[in-house]
Amino acid sequence: MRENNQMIENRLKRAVENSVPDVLANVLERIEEKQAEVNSGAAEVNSEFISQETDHQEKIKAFPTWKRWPKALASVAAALVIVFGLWLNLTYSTETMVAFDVNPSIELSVNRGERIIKINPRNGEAWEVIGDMDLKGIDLEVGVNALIGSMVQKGYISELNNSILITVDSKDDGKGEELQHRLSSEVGSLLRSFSVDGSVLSQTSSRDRHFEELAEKYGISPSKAALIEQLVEADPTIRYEDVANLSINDLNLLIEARQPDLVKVDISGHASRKAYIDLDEAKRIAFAHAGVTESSVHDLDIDFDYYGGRLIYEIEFEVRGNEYEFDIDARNGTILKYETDDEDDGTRPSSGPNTTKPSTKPTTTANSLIGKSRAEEIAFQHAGVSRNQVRDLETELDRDDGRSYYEIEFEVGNTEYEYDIEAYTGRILDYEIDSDDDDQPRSTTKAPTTTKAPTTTKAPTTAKSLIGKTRAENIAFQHAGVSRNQVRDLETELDDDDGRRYYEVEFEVGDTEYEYDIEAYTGKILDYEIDYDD
Amino acid sequence: MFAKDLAASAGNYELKPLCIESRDCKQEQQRRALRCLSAQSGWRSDMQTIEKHISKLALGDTAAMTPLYERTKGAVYGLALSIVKNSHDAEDVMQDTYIRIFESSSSYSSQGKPLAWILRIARNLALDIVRSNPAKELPLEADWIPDAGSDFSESSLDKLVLKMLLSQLDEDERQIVVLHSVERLKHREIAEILDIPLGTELSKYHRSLAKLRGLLEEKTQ
Repeated sequence: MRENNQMIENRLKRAVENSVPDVLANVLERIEEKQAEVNSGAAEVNSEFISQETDHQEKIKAFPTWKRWPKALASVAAALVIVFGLWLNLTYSTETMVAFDVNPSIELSVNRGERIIKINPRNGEAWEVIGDMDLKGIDLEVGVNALIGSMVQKGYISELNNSILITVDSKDDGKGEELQHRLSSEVGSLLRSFSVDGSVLSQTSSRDRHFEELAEKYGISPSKAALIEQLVEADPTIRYEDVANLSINDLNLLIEARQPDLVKVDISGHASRKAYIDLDEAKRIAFAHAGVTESSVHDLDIDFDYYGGRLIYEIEFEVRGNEYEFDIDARNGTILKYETDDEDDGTRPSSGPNTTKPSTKPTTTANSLIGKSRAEEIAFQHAGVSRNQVRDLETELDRDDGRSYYEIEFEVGNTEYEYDIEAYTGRILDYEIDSDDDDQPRSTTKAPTTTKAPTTTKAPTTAKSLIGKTRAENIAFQHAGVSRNQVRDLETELDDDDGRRYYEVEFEVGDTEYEYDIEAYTGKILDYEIDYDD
Repeated sequence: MFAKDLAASAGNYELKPLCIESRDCKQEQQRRALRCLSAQSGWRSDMQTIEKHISKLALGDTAAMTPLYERTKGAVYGLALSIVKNSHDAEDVMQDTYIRIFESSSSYSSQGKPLAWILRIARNLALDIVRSNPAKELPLEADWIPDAGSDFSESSLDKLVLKMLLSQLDEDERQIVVLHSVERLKHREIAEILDIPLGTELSKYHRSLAKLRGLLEEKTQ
């Protein structure tokens, strides 16, 4: 009879498993005895501390062994109250709070033995990350391993979004700092093991009412509030409400761009810019819009910065004595601001689908209201929707700081729109687009308030562009830890499932088959499968 | 919570190949197991579940012993048996192992390798028995030796292979083959538990399997 290794092994497995004796009952009995020994030992030691508290007797009866020892019961019971109390104190006293923020925000309460005693998911994403994992009672390190693994697996941490904030709040400052550094390096190496070149921000913070209040106000976690607080303090040009909704990765990019002096924050690695257009692309957009060629440009200055709640490229240059200034949305390349001192308007091309040309000259003081329906038209046109698509339309004339504006709210599909439109000029003061199935953090967009030049803004959610096959492939390769030239039988298709568009990337390296589904707009890895063929 | 743990470990059992011989079936199961591994969920959560049980034991929650025992008994017994070579001592080692797990649970420090920790305890206890009484070697149980007839039932063949393992392989070889077949541990993990170089482990494994294959072929001709 010819049998292969697998068959032999299966025989062994069956033979062993079928002959395993049942020793569980014996084991349980012996454990009980051990426990009784320990407790009676404790009883002798602690009998002098007998207290009047007897309300824990219920718990004592839970140990069956006690029933056999009626004589000793009284003193033992009292002693056990003490032991139990000590144990409770050791196990359930929250020594330290550790918080993780990516966009999911999770807080862990940890006892002195670094076991997790409480898990507090601060947002919906956190619930998704935790899933049905029960982290209670397990070692902090194990819990962190599981949480980070889940965040990577569920796409919250990826090469596009590689930053995580760790906040440690300990009664003991020295211990807090030690834990902060330990966790920071642990999470860093954990991310590397998942092929993510991560950036870990870490801080110690004390649980402060102030942060709780800020957290409540902006709907974020206290740990993120503590980080933003430092950021705002170090750089007063940053407004709290503008950055509250940024992800940790975006905040990290902002910190890199502004270099504020954050004494309490340690940062390792660099925030990923891969979700954003690169510098060359930003330049190309600006030059094309200005109608100039790169060779004619001088004094070029490009900054990666943040403005009005989003990350932008700030591009300034001169061509033949004319100064140009652009703000370009780093996520999708939309021109947010365009200024030039070139008074000859003939060379200034108009851009984008935005055909709204509200009066912007401050000198033209219009003295009649444009009216609700005109305001609505401006909003619809800007959003690229028509009136009959719109649901739940609400328009109100409002007044704030001596300024009158129409507040327009409506929904199209899963997307909510909110516009503030200046009541006399029809200028869009502010808008917000909130898409339910958008993976990106909600962004609030303040229309630039410059009056020097017309502003061109595109709705970020409608202007989403595909990341392209090559980019999708690169994301898959990087995740798989392979390089393009190792890969065989590469096939990439743009697919559509339940209204979600994704690239299906399939390839082989050696004997291994890889299959990735990558979200077509965000580059998020939706699913992957690795198959070893033998 | 308890029921959930059992369900979780039952779920993990499902991943291990139980259907044999059919190549398609084997491949499908390997694929499932690998998918599970590659998604960093199955193996990790299996190990996490074991760690959770250990943590609970450390907190005095003895109810955690039952799921821990059910999940690990095969590997613990198999490893003990492969060292002491008789079911009587193997049973003692098994009991002592779980008691030792309970006693040392509070000093267990997680490195994500709870199973290796458990198996090392079992191995040390088993080696203690062998070392303390090197002359003692009980004969194999009679009913493990199949009848000399030509008609082998599947279960008697299974026992025959186990008997050949115990009688024909050396101590390291026996442990390697048992851990690889019963618990499906990786060679790297086995090498770590036995504290031998990976290359040694691999060559011993292949030599042992070839030996068992040859012996079985001989016996069943």
